[in-house]
Amino acid sequence: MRNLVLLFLRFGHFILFVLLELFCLYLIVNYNRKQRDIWGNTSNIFMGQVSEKWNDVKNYYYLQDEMDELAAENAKLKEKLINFGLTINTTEKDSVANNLGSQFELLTALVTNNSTHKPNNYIYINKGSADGVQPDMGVISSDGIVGIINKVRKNSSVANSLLHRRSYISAMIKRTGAFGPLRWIDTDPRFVNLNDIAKHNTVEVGDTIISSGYSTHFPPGILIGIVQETNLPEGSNFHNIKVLLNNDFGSLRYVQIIKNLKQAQQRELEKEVSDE
Amino acid sequence: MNNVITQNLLRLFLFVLVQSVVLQQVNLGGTTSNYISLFLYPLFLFLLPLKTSKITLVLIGFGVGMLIDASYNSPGVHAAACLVTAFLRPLILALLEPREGYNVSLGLNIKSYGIVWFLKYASTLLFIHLLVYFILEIFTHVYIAEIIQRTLASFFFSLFIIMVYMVIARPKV
Repeated sequence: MRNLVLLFLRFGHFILFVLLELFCLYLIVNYNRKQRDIWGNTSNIFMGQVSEKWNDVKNYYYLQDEMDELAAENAKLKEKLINFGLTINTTEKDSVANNLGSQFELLTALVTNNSTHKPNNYIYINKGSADGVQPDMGVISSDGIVGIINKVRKNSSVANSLLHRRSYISAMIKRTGAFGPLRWIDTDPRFVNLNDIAKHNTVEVGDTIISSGYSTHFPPGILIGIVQETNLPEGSNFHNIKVLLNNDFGSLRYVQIIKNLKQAQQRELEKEVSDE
Repeated sequence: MNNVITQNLLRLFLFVLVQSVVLQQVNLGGTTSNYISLFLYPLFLFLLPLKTSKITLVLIGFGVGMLIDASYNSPGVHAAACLVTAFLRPLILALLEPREGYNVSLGLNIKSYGIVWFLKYASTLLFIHLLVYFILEIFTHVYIAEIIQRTLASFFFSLFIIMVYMVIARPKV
């Protein structure tokens, strides 16, 4: 209390000055016609500018939400496209009104960590078992194949990148249908090798490489890249094919996790056959 | 003591009367508008006794300003300018303090501290007063050139009549 009194004794005139000055400004703005008009106009303009700037800020803030929404919508469209493609192809070949339904479901996720320069690269994703992610699911982005889920926690998961020594992804030359596993042995994150393409198949520079669909991870027809270099080593039965990846692994942001609803069934079959 | 209060009250009465009856009607420098305004009444705030407390100064400044505003029909404009002048007076006095200091029993006039000191004191406060007044009177940065022109023009004419008053009336306190 004593301090308060001292404070007022010391700065009382200043406080009084400010209060009276504010009162004067109030009088000026309210009881002088010219000043009132100017004040009204200026504050309108000023408030207009402020609310405009505020809108900009708000829009920027909502950008993230909007991006998430668009990514989810993209995933949904892609899911439809993949399943639709499957239906069409099967119908054409089998001419059976099939009950294939939706085999693949896509789930959008955000990349939280990523590397491209290590011998084995991993991609960390912000969705986990709570969203239905399970090990062995495929991961793609809008530009192509990314990798395969390795470990899953409740709200995050790790995928083996395509740039991983132990990644074997079944790929296909779109033009001829010849297929083989993709392997990353280079240290360059832009290229992978396509192996096991037999001598009798023709391979040309510029051929499109897509996923074959001969695995439970990925649906067929997902773009991987194009042939950059190809040669047939002396005495070898297989082409040596270098593929330029369509995906830029250095700038991954949104990815889609592929749920194959028939994975368990397919696995079971494969196991039965190999057990025989 | 009573003498000082009476003197100041008389001076206030005189200044308010002259300001509102005579100086308000003077048209200088323009055919249609009061381009140059003549201000005598700020002198009242300059001449208040040295020992007037800061709070009293602020209150008196506000009161005088409202009186002038009543005759100018401009609520708040003169009062705001007077408040700034009254608030800054102790600061300006401290800045202009003579080497031998102030004498509390003397008035803040030419006779006590010399004409050079008084000119510095009066012109500094008058300029601040006029600048604040014209900023609030014109009230838009669009006419910032006009604010400066009118402040300067009014400053010289007002300082002139203030000095004329000081020389003729020779206020003691």
